[in-house]
Amino acid sequence: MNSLGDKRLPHVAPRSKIDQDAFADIFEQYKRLVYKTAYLMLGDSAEADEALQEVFVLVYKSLASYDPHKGAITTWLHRITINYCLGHRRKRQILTEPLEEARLVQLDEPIEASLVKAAERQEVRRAIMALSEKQRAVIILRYYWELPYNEVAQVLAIPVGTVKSRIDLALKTLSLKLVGPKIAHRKDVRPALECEV
Amino acid sequence: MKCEHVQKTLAVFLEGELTPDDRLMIQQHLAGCEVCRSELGLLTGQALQSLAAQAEPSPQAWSRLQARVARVPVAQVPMAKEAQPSSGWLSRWLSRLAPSGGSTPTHSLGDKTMNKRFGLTALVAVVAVAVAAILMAQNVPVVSAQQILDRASAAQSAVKSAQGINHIRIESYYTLHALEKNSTGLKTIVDSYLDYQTGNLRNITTHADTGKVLDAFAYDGANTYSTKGPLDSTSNESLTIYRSPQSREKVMANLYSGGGATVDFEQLFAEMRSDPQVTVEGKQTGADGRSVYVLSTQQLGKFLKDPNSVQTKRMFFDANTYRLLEEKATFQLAGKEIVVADMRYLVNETLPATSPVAWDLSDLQGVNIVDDTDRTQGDLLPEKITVQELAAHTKTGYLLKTIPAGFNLELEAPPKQDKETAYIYIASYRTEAGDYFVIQASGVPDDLTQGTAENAQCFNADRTITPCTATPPTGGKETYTTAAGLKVYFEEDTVTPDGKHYPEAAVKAPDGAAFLISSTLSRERVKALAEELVIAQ
Repeated sequence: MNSLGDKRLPHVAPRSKIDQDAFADIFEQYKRLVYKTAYLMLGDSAEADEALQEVFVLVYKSLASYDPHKGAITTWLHRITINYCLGHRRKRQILTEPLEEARLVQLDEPIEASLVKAAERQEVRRAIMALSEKQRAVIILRYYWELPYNEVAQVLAIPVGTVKSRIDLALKTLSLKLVGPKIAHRKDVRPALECEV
Repeated sequence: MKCEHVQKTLAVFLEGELTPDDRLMIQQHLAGCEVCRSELGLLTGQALQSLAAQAEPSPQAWSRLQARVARVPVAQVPMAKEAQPSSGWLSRWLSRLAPSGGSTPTHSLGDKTMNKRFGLTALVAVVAVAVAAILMAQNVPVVSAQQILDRASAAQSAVKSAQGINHIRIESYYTLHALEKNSTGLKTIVDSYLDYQTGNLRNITTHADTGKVLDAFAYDGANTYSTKGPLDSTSNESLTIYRSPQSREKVMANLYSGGGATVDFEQLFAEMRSDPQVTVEGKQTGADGRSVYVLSTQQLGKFLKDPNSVQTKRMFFDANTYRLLEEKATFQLAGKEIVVADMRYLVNETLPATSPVAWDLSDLQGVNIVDDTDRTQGDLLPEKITVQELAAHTKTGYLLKTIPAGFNLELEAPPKQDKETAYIYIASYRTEAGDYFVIQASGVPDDLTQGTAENAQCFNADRTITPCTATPPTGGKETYTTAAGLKVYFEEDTVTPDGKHYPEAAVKAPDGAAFLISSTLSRERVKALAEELVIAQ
């Protein structure tokens, strides 16, 4: 990114004009929103920390132009965060924890409890990380943040119809990863189902 | 298997405790049951809650951030950009909105950008007011062209992220055959609205002097409104607009196909940025007192009658907001400066989503709106077809022999095509990661390869004009012939704001078929794929 020394351009607002307190408030209020999305998207706490930095640097630069009347700040933040993560083309590390380590779950346990355990032992995490980035993004926005379809569409700048079909495809892929034959868990197998909407 | 049972035991599946047969049964049920998939989504959400519960930002995050932002100049607004240049139908579909007055629909300020941008002007938004073209030289510029373009790009991104209805009004003036005598040119106003959320849109082209409606295109949530092309500016006829029922989903899908609303000012700025000849001509004061930066470059007048004429292209930016106000192309003839094209951005704003807009064109005067319930006259949005259907429709439907590994093929064509003209279709090969190789057969083979032939002239840095070399280092024009004899005429690459080069080419086959190729892949890869082009059977 090219920086332009603002000394030479008197029309550029000096830095002090950005309300540092407001920025601090925004950071405090929304750091978890950004961090958790990045954590779930990238699957790594160090990378999520880096994402948090990069996203808020962007927020800082853009704050002067942000107009609260034109949309919720959360939508805006979700968008910047997801875009950052989508552009973060790192090598995807599919977790390779041996399946034998899975804890047994009693059949009479409530679904939630057993899912929590599944999460604890990374089954869901592995399946989520095996989704494509775009599919992961819709699942996180829809089912983790519980955003309505139209807001997911706004965040991703795609039509609502595409959101719905992408979510459904992600769930199909997820079901294959989670409950399909064990071979589907191997990182070298990519089911044909996993295609772009 | 019943849903209830499936949902109760989903968790068990996650633990992998059932037999392979049970797994298969449940998996098959999930594949066909949306309700249970939705349940899986909810359960996944809960699992994600648990996963992320302990994930907290580092305690040093704020102090690190403070150190970072202390070094940041304020005026930069680099919102993340979205995806790649569009190869979507909309740009082609809406390209008819370019002002009429000439035979070619691809006229521009001297490059292909204008046509694309015209098609998608409704999809971008900045606030701008036109400045009078009378400018006085002021002081020596203190910024470089690069810096101005960077800032313009940043300003553009900021508004692009705004929500609501994008409204843009452009006054455009073209003299397509500027070297001809008595060429007066045509001035039109293109007024565009687009609601990203609903897909409603409205684009009206009017004659700037008479106000006569020359072209229209709209979607009101239930119908598309389209024409068979713009009226000639001298025509006495009224414009006929076809009202064709169409689903929102279809309109939205086409609105965003090929990477979405991404061919925009940023793209234009990126192309200017990659032009080594762009200089800051000066900082000037417009008639309204506004400070304006003027950037200029020299280009071959590609659309002038004399292809060797050199035109000057200027871009005018508001020196305070860095928004693009005007673009102008001129050339010198016998000591006189003649304007070839002039685009002025009169309005460029984002309106609240609730703003009233006559999407159904009910406010237009002097037009005939005709119902086209079976979509035989208007609309023509593409629908999915199979390879067999393509082969049945045309004997010259070129596709890749095999779908490249990692790619998927989507084949589309507008319905009810006229049998007399070449068949229009689009074949999109795409990867999950976003790469694409797209074939677009536009139905007008002769036009496609015009101006892209081997004998193209290039304008050099020393301001001389010579034939272009076969493979210019910057990815200029080039002709490649495949073993099967297909001629691939590469255009100058599309350059994205982040500097990536995406090849575009017109292809002409020995049998006369012609089509366009656009891709995110390298030119070499495109050539290799071109070797694989065969007629669909």
